[in-house]
Amino acid sequence: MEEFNSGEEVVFNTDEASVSVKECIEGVIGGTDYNQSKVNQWTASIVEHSLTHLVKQGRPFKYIVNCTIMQKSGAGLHTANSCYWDTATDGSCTVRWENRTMYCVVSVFAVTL
Amino acid sequence: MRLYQGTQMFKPAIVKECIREIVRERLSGMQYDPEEVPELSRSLADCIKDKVKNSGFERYKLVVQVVIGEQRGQGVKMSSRCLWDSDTDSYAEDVFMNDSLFCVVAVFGSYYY
Repeated sequence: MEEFNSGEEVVFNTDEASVSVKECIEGVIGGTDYNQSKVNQWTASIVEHSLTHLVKQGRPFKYIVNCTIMQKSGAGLHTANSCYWDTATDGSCTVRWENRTMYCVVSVFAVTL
Repeated sequence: MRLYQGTQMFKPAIVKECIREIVRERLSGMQYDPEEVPELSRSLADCIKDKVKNSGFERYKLVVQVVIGEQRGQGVKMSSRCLWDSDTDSYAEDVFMNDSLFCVVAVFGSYYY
């Protein structure tokens, strides 16, 4: 495929992905309050838009995008991940976002083909 | 899609069982403690990654995500989307709950050609 940078070492660009994901989150839930009936479609939208933006970059990666939305109720939430991959080329980035009524955590993992 | 000789496909059922055993063993009877949970989620992720690695999926790159949260009656929603080769790649997940906390584990396996 002509869009791929064949022949050079490709590394996952975490900053670019971070910015891209943040925009997606703002676009879907920026300015809204937690709504039980809409959460399903919000997480699906955030994840699909993020994935589409990542794919548009045209890099030779497989992607896994994960989104968690939690209502603010004083409870704590922790996420951890452990990965077995090629540390030279693969990478991940996690974006934390919050507003008055909810937290949103999006993780993107990219592994080379 | 043919795999290299001697390697097996990612089997979600087996991986789900790996996750279940470890989570139930480590979290049964545990209370949510904000001091311990960060370390607990990290070590759970590493434990699960090592167990799955040793279950015979040699050609697979793995991503293990562990989310632990306090139970306070709030709403939580977690979604994932992946851009990968559905002939070879797959995932397994499990949810554990007790009165004090909930734990969601997702393991994604991506075949390395």
